[in-house]
Amino acid sequence: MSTNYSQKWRNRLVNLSLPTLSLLAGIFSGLVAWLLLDPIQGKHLEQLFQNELVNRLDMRAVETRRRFEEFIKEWQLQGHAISNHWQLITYLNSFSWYKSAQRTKYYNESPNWLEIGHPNVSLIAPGQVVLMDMRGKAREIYQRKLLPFNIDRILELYPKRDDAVITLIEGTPYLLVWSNIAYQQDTDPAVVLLIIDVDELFLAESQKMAHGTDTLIALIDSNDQRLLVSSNQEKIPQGSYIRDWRDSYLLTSQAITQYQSLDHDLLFTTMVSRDVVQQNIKNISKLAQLDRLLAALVYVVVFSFIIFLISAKINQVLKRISRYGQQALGVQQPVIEKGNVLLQLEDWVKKFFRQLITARDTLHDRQEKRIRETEVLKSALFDNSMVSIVTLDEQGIVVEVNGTALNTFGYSRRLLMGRRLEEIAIKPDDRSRFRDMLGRCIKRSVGPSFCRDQPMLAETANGEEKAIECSVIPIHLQNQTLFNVYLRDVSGRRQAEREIASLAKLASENPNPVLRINDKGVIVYANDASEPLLTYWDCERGQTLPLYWRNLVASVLKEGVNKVYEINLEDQIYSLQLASIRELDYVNIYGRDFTQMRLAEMQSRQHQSELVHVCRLSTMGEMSTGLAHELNQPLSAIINFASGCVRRLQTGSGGEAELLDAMAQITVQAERAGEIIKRLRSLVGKRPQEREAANLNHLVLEVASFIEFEADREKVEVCVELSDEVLPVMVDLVQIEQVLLNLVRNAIDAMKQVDVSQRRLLLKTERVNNKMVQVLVRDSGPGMSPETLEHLFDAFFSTKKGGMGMGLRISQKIMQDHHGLIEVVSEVDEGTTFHVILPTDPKLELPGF
Amino acid sequence: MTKPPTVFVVDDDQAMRNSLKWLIESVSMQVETFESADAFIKSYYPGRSGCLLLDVRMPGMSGLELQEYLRANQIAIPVIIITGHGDVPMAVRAMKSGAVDFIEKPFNDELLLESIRYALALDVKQRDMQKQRAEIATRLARLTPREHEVMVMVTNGKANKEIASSLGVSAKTVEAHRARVMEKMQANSLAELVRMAISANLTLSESKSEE
Repeated sequence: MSTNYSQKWRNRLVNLSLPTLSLLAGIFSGLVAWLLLDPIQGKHLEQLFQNELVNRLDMRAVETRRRFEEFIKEWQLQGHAISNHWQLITYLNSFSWYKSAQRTKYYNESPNWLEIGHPNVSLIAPGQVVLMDMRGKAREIYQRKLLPFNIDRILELYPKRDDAVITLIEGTPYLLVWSNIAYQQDTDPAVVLLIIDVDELFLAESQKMAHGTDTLIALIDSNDQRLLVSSNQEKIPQGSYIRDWRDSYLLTSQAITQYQSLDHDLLFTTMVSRDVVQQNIKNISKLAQLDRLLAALVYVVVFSFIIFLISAKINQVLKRISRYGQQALGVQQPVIEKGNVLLQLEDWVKKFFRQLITARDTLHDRQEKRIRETEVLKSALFDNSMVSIVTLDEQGIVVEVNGTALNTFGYSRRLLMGRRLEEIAIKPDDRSRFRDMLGRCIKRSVGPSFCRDQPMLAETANGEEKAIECSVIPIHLQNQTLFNVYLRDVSGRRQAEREIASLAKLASENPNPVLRINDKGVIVYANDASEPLLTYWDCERGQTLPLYWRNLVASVLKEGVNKVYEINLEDQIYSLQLASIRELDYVNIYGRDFTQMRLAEMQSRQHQSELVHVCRLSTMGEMSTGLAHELNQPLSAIINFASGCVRRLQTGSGGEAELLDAMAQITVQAERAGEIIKRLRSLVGKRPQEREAANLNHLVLEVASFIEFEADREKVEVCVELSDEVLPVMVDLVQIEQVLLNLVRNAIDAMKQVDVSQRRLLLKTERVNNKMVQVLVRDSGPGMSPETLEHLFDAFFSTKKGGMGMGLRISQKIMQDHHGLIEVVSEVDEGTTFHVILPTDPKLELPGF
Repeated sequence: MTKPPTVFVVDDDQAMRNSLKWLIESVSMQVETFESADAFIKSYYPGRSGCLLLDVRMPGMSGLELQEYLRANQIAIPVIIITGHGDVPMAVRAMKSGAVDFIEKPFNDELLLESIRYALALDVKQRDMQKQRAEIATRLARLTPREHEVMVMVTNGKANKEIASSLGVSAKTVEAHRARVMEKMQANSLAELVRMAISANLTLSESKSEE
């Protein structure tokens, strides 16, 4: 029942447009707020006004009384003015009361001096004006009306000074004003007494600036609470009780300072009409109410307007959303153009979410199915991958391994699972690198390239070494990271790659010319090194060779036999090998730059020979010093041992065993010396004889070239004269060179003693006869004396400082071994000539000739 | 310290080492042999007294190089150079590097032993001097700057009056300073004080700085 009811309301709401609804809501809420708040506010306001009124009444009462008292004071001043008026004084001067001692005079009129002296008095004329002497006796009484009582009752009240008081006599209030008349010499002192009725007029006059009709003043007898006089007798008649007026008037009673009476109390009362006050309050609260209503209205309007704007905007946005929703989701939902968009949208969103949930469930099911399928597929992929894949966890422990890996490395799954991969399958040398790579991939401190294709060596189950490329790819799962390690077996591929790479480089990097010519003689390929050849042929790549070479290529191709040709360029010599590739109809030309090679050959040959020389010479030079040192050692030791023995024997301090030991040492050292000498002999004499045929001229040239540097240093002019004919000899080349070098060295040394300009060395070869050829070594040195010549070939004879005296001795021995001889001719100051004579054999065939 | 002076033999040839040991021990001297300069450096410590018999030509560090090393490390052991082939330049180099003697192999035993005796005596003398110098140095260190100044001037042959005027004090004060210097340096006479100053290289350096 209630749902039906609410449904009905809801339908009504749905049909209302959102801005209208918001407007209605605004107005309704504003109205409710006003209705609720207004009475409360009104009451408060009234209370406020009441308080305010009382305050104001008090203030007004104070004000009216002040005016009243002022008015009395004014009367006192009037009295004073009258008493000092010159007419009165003149009047008084004219007679003397005391002299005449007459009775009191009564006049039933105002005194003429009064009229003159006070024109305003006519408004409220005093009822009686009394002239009194100083004893208080009335001398002249001017009365406009009769007092209802004996005047003496008033006269008694004289306070003997100037004053103004209100008094109450027989229920009627009077104002009494006394004023001394200025005393003069010839006049009697007198007092003017004004008696004024305090009546309606007086009261009205006292309040000159009346507050309109709403405020009245009155005098009240406080004893019986009756009104004595009021400012408006018509409204408030005299003698009425004050309590009768409390309902219609607000009353405030005050005492009056100037009041003076014996029997009655007098109160000054201010009266404000309640009606007037109520009217005022009503007027003001009405105005306030109007104000509030206006404010509420403005508030409702502004508020509704803002809500309207906002809802209009929301409406717009919602419309857009629904339109977008329709476009984006393709859901059949009409775009809402009117009615309450929010509610409609809510319905629609509810429906949409329901659809969404079903869609998600379907999707989820489908996804799960697909994942299951993918997993099956993936595991199939994983297991059947051509690459070995091992999955590791973050600690590097194997958690999964595929079949290929097991097959490739021959490990069982059980062996690998739960173990560190590198400890089993990686070679010890590469383990740290593998760990490093894994560690870096875990920390992600390196780019993916670092974890890709790192070459390593793996070890199979049967201990074989396998070149692999190892890649690590992290797999980030929800709460952990796994690593797929791909181990690619590259042992075969690596080899092939290397070969291909080297092959590719073969031709292009070849420092020698490599060309390919096709059967038409066109240069199909030529590497950089072929440039000189191309220049020589005057053709470029892609052009045909000169005719001669074209024919050569054709013949090689036809015969299928490789051929080698030489080609002489300006400064280069090439050997070209033409190799036919018949199946492709190509001829490859491999060139070889001979120039460099020949030069290198020559140079190396030269180096070699120089080296040989150096060795030879150093053996001779070293021999002498080495011999000295070597022999010195055992000799010194022998001497030391012997001396030690002698000293011990002399002092008798040495034991027998000790001495014997020392003697044994002497023997040992002596044997060592003998050993050294034996070795020396073997070096010089017992060398196995080598004989080879040589041209003596060449030998001399070589020696000459070798001493060039030394001769140059010593500024020796070397002259070589070679025989025109070949002088073949059968010799040990090393030994003969040693002999010649020794002679030349000696000559150069000898020439150090003569002047630089005189230093000349001649090397000459010539044939002595059919059987003998000779070399002459002639110097321009100081020559030798006959005594020297006599011992020249003796062992250990030397003229040189530090010389061993072995050189010529050895030379002579060598020559004897060669069946030759060495002779010397020398004269002091003429120089020395050595003849080195060797046997020759014309039948000897020399290599290279 | 009470160890007798030792003759250190450094030679690469064992026969030489043994024969030298044999020879030198025949006159009751302590001998230690080393087959290379390195071996010697490793075992020797500077406090040991004695002399060094050094073969010039050795594999590794040569005799001359060892001499350089000793000099660079301020080891003042007297060195006798022995050589198989006495060439003059090498001898000059060795002597310049502070060798006591230069003896050629094979050598006269008398000559060698004489040379060793001389070297050992020199070592003792050097050690004494070293000790004395150290003693003087410690005494010098005890002087106040002003006393040091006075000592320098006195040993430079300045009279008390001169010193007083150049230091701006009275002659009596100088006298007092001088007495204290003599006391602290434990010098019995002016001559002794001068000797100390010379051995401490004092006079020379101060007079130079005065110039």
